[in-house]
Amino acid sequence: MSEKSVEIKNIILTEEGRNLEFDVIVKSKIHHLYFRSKSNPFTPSTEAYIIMALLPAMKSGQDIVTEGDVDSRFNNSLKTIQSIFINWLPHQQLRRFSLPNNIKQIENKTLSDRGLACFSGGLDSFYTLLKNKTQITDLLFIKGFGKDNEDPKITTKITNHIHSAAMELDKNVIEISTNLRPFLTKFFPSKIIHGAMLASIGHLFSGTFSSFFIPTSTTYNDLTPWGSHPLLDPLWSTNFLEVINDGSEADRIQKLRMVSEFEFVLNNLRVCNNKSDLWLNCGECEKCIRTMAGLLAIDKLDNCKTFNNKLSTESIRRLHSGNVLSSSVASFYPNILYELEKNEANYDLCYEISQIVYNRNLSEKLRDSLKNYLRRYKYRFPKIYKLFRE
Amino acid sequence: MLENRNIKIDSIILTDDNHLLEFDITINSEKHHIFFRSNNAKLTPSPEAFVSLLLHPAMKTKKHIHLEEEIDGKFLDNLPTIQSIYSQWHPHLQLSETVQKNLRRSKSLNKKRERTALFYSGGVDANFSLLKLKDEIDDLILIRGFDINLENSDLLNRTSELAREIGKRYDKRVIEIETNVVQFLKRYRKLIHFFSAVLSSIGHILSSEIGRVIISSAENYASLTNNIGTHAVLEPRWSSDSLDVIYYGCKASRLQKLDFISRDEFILNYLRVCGANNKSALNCGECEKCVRTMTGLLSLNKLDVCNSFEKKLDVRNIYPIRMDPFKSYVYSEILYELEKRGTHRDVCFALSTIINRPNFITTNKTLLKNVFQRQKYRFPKLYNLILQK
Repeated sequence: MSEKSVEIKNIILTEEGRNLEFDVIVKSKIHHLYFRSKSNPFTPSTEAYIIMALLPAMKSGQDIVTEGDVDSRFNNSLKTIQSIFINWLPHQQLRRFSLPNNIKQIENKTLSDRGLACFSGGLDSFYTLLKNKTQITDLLFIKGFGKDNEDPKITTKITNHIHSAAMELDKNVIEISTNLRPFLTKFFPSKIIHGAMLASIGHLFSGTFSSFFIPTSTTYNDLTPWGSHPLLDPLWSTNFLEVINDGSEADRIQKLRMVSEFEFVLNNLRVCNNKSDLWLNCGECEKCIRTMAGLLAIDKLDNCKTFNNKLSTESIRRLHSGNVLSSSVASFYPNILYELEKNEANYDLCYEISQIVYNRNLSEKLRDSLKNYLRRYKYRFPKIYKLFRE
Repeated sequence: MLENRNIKIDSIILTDDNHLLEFDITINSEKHHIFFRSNNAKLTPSPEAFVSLLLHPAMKTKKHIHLEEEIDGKFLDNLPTIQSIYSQWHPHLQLSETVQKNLRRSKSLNKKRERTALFYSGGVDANFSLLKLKDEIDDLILIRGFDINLENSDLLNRTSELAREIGKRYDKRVIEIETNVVQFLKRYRKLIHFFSAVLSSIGHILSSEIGRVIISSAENYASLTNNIGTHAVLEPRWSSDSLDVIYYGCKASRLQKLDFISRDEFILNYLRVCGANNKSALNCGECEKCVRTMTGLLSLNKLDVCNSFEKKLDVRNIYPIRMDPFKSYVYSEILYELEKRGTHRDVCFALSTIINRPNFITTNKTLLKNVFQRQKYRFPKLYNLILQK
C-alpha cells in the first residue's frame, strides 16, 4: 500500500452487476465500500471512483490511484473542482492531487435518451421530477443517505411512498443501499460531501443514462459553499453523462406552489429524517416545520396527508429557543414569513418565525463586533494591548 | 398599442467596412440610437447581442423583445435561467416568459472562430488573466464608454494608450470598441446590474472574428456575491454555438492576483484600477478602488515600486470606505497580510476600523429594527399607526 496515494482496489461486481464492492485505502487504512441495487446493474466507472476518493485525497494530501481511463471532459474539470474546494475550505489546507490515468478516447456512441433523478420524496425532489418529467425516466432512491437506514420498518414505509409517487408518473424506481456516506463523513460533514456522493453514484449508472438530475435546495440568491451547488454539480459531468443541478430558479414557496397542485405529491411528501412509526414526517423537526409553514402560507397544509399535527407556536418556539439555526437554514424562512404574514390569522406563528429570521443571535454578534471594533487599538497601543492580554 | 408591448430593434446599419454598427431601440414609442465602433475588428449585427442588451429593459418594463432574426438555440435555452438569476438578484426585475415569447430559434449551427479575446480594462483581474492565459489569448478588448464617459476624451485616450502598450508588449491585437450603449441602459439601472449583459453583447458583436471571450472574475469561489456585475453562474450562460463566454480567475483571491501580477514590473507600472474616472489621471490614488489596490500592494511590499498612482497612499482616504461582503473579504485579507509584516500600524488601525465599524453600527441598528418589526405580529394596529406617522 502506498502512503502517497489513495488507492481504489479489489473491485468486485457480482449478482449480475447489482452488487459492487471495493476497498478505498486512505493513509494505509482500508475502507470497504459496498453498493447494492435491487434492480438495475451498476456500470464500473473510473469517474465514480475518483469522485469518491477526491475529498479524502485532498484532505490527506495524497494522489489517487485507480484503474481505467478518465473521460476527457471530466479530467478537464478536475482542476476547477479542486480549486472550488480549496477556496471553500481554506482552513482545511486541502492539497491538489494528480491522476496517472490515461484519457479515454471519445467514442462515437449514441447517447441514451434516459434520465435519472435523485429522489428522496422531498420538496426539491418532487419539484425536479414534475418540472423535468419528460426527460426523467427513472428515480434513484438511496438508502443510507439520510438517517433512515437503521430501521427496516421505516425504510419500507418510505420506499412504499416513493413507489406510489413514481407510479403516478409512470417512472421506474432504482433502489440502492450503500455505506458511502459514513465513509465520506469521516473526512467532511455531510453538507460538503453530499453533492459529490450523489454524483459518484450517478456515474455508477452511466452505462444506462445520459443525464443525472440533482435536485437542489439552494437558490441563485444563496450561492454560499454547499455540497450540491450550481457551480459544482455540472463539473462532475462526462462526455456521456450530464450532471444537472436543478431547481435554483425557484424558492421554497414557489416550489411548494408548483408541487401542491398535485394530490399524489401531498399524499407522499417526505421531508423528515427523524424516526416515526406512524407518520412519514414527525412534524416537530426543523425541516417539517419549514415545510408545514410553507404549506400553511399557500393554504395547502390541510390537504397534505403526511403530517400528523398542526403547526403550533410551541413547536416553532422549541426550534429557536436556546438554539441558533445556521444561516443556510435560516435563509429559507424570510420568504415563507413574507407569504405567511399575508393572512393576519397567522400572526402568532409569524411572531415565532420572525425570531428565526431576525434573531440571528444578535446580542452575541453585538458583543463580538464591539470586541473586534476595540481590537483595532492593538495597532495604536501595542504594548498596553499585549499587557492587557497577558 | 400593440407596438407598445414590444421592444424593437430596427434600422440596423453596418458601415465603414463593418467597423461601425448602428441601430435604433424603440421602447414605449421612444427611439434610442445606439452605436458600436471598432478600430480594427469587424463587427456583426448579432441577434444574441441585441437580446443581451434588451433583456434588462425588457424585464424591467415587462415587454416582449421583438427581433426579425433567429436566435442561436444554445443561447435561447439559457435565457430562462439568466432571467431567473436576474430576478432573484434584482427583485425589481420580474421573471417573465413574455421577454422571449416572440424570439425564434435558429436551425443552423454557426461556425465558431479560432481567436480568443480578453476583456481588458488594465485592472488587477484583467492583468491576472492576461499573464496566466497569455499563450491562449489573441486579442484584448478595450471598451470606450463603459466606465469612462465618452465626453472624457483625455482619459479615454490615456486608457487606450495604456492598452496599446500592453498589447505591444505581449504581442496582442487591441480591439477598441466605442459605444454609447451604457448611457442608454443606465436609464434602467446602475451599470453594475447590466455589466455582464454589455460584455456579452460586445462578445457576440465580435463573433465574426472571435470564438472565445474571457471575462475576468473579481472574486474567488469563496467570496462570490451577487452584486458585483459578473458571476461564475451567470457569465457562461451568455454563450452560444458560435461564442464561448469564459469566466476566469475565481481560484485566486484579490491579494493572490495582486501578488502574481506585481512580479511583472511592466504590468505594475501600467495598472489602471481607478473607479473615480473623473479626471485625466489613470489612477487618482484617492477613490476606494485605488486605495484597495494601494493597500494591497503595501501589504506585499510592492507599493514603492509601483508608479501607476498619481499620489501616495493617504491613510485618511481609508476611513470613508463603506463595507459590503466583497470589500470586507478583500480588506480582511490585506489586513491579515499587513499584520504578519508587523508594519504600517496606522494603516492596520484604519483597516480594522472600517472592517469592524459596519458590524458594530449595523448590528445595533439591526437589533433595534428587528425588535420593532417583530411587534407587527403582536400589536398590528399600533405598528401600522406608527408606520403611517
